[in-house]
Amino acid sequence: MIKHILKLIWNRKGSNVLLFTEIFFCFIVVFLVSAFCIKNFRAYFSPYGYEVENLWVLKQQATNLLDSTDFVQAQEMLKREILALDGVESAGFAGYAIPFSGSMWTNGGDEMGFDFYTTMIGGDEDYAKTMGIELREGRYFTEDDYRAKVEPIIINQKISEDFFDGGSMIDSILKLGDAEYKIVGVAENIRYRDGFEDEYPTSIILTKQAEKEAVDLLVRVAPGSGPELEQAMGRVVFNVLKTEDFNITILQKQRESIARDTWVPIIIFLVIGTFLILNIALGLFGVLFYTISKRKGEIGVRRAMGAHRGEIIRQFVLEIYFVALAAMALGVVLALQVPLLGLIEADDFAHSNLYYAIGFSFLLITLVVIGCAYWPSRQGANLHPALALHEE
Amino acid sequence: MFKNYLKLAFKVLGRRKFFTFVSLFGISFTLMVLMVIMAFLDTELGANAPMSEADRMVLMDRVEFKTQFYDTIYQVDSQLVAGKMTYDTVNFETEEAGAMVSQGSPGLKLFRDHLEAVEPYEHFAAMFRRSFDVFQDGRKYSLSAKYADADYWKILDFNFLEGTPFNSNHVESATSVAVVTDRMAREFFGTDENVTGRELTLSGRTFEVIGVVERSRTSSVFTRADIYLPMSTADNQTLSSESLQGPFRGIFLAPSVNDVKQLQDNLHFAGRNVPIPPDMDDFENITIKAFTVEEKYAWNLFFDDEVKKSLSKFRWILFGTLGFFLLIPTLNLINLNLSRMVERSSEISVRKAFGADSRHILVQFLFENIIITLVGGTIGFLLALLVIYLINQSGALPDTILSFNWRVFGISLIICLGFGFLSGLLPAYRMSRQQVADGL
Repeated sequence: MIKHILKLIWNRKGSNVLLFTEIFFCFIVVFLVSAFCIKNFRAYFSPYGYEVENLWVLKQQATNLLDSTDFVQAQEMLKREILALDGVESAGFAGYAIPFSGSMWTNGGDEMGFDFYTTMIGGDEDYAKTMGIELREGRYFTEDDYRAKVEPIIINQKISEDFFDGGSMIDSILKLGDAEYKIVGVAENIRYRDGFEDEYPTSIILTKQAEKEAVDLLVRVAPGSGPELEQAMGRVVFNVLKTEDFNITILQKQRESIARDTWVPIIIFLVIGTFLILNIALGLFGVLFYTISKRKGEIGVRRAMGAHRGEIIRQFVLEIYFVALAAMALGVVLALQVPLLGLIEADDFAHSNLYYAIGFSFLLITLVVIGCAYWPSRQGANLHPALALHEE
Repeated sequence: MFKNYLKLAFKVLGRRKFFTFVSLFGISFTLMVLMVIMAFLDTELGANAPMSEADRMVLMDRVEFKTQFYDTIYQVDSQLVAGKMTYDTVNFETEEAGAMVSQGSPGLKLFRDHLEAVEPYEHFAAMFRRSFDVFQDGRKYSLSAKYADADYWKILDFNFLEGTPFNSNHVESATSVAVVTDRMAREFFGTDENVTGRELTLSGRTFEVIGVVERSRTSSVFTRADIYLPMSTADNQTLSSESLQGPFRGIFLAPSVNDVKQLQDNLHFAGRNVPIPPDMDDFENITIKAFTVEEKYAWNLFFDDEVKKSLSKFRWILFGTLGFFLLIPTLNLINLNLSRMVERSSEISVRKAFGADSRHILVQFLFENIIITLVGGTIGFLLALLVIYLINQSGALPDTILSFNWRVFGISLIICLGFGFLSGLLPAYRMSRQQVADGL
């Protein structure tokens, strides 16, 4: 039977070529859109490694102008005064990178005998508590660490897996450029760019206030705190710094505003992709309806020779699906080249998104094609043989 | 003759409602998306107020300090000569091995001491932005303020709803005056009428509002802000900084479009010749980037070292995506038209039998297809207006206000006709070559 269907397809190659091209391009579009969306959705809904809600950031430049003794004093006073406010749960200084603020520091080298890189964030002894960072292993920095002989460092799960095969790393020495660090803890993966990125190596180092390494203050506030606390905090900061040149950012809002840059293209792609599919589906439906109704004679003969309705429907549907299958096969072969040849720089997790996208595109187009072929075929098969042959 | 074709076209449209619906659905949605994209590009890159002179502008807000490191690889020949090992360098080659780069926006000193002397330009304005948190009636307002030179208002033609811009007297005497946008006036003062003369306090300094402007429609960082203040009212520390890096941006207005290239080249040349300040002597080279409006937009998307590379990426991706997007509805329409025209084979044969030649038939079918595309285009146009309205209302693009003007309409009309022509050509050609006997 398959041979017969292939012959039928060949006989109508003129119109099938158009169908083939249309479905091929449709597959490519669905693949691209779904790969983009699947990647972003999966990343967005995986954990950040800390709690974004109720986390505020105080950014200011004023203390930076002081010399280092006054700097340390002013910063300590700022922290103390803010902690004294009602509704503030904890506060810690952060350096180098504040979540969702666009800043980032990457460090790396080959001092350990292989290419190693990590993004760096810095914090004081209260940083992890304020951020809500969970450790998988080891401990967070304590006051004693400021006097440690070898600077302590906390690495994340990704570093341990990617560079050290996931073994226990506590008390090992990490070399980065000229500096040496002792690993005291392993944290969950921390993501702070925009919430849509894959996991990446991150380390936390202890910031030294005397060297002005951490200026920004992270503040964890009680759930439900609003503008009153913000204004009260503003007054406290003004009293300490004697300037209004500072900003209090609510991280959750910052995250939403940064995420919008990705949501807008996702929505645009989804709308346009849906429209293209709908367009193709309607077009296919119309064309098939027309061509199948033109093949009355063929249906009549087959019915008269004893073919069941089901067999006729199956023949038409398979005939169209085979064309679609050929088009999709070409699409799959091309799409598979992206992960196989490593055309985009990505790890296994990112590549798995591409396989999901290929599977999804295949299923969606199969559904659309079979759906659009089934109804016209049923209509055609319903014809009474006598009626169908009447015209011949 | 065309009147007949027109009549026929509408008759055919009414005959098979489902086909007509499918065709119009595809055409109108495709053209709607194209028109919205055109409106977006025109808003961001086109010559509209306040950037009516966009094609004469040169934007400069990037300075890069760089030291390139090289690895030298020696090929050494070792030989035992008279019991002693000798070494000869046969060959060596150098290759780039990493670089130390510090890049960001320039400091005011770079403009005042080095770039303002560059020719040819008509006006130049330096600016920088900072944000203020202002608390009023228990609410917090985050205002984005732009400090600018007086010539800022000569380069950018903001639409003043009331009042005037600040002038060079205000800037020289550091008068505390401000120009606010209509949106900020509404949010902050509760009204955008009779706002001039009202006061607001920023960082302990009280400013008097002397003008209200319509908010910038493009999202360009050179135009967008809530409140505009004279440069000299900024804090002294930012203004007097000796550093070549800082928060500043500069905008130049070339005398004519033809001078833009010359101005860019001269700026780049002047940038390369800036002496490296002592506190940055780790670095060997200074490069500045002076962009055209389109280059700036493209570069912000890709951040290539070479601005031209970002620009060509931007154009390729844009036109590639648009072309790809058009391809599918076109194929769909061709497919649909082909099966649709089969049912009219007898009509064609009759016309041919009475002496019409293939060309007439071809023209007739193309004409019909263009008519249906124009009908779809009109629906698409209305949909596009609706979508643009919805996008502006929802604030999905926070810093852009899309608008639809005659230029966008003209381009859309051309795309519309092209679309109709392309999707109708193949089916019409096939039908026109049909044999008379087959059809009858």
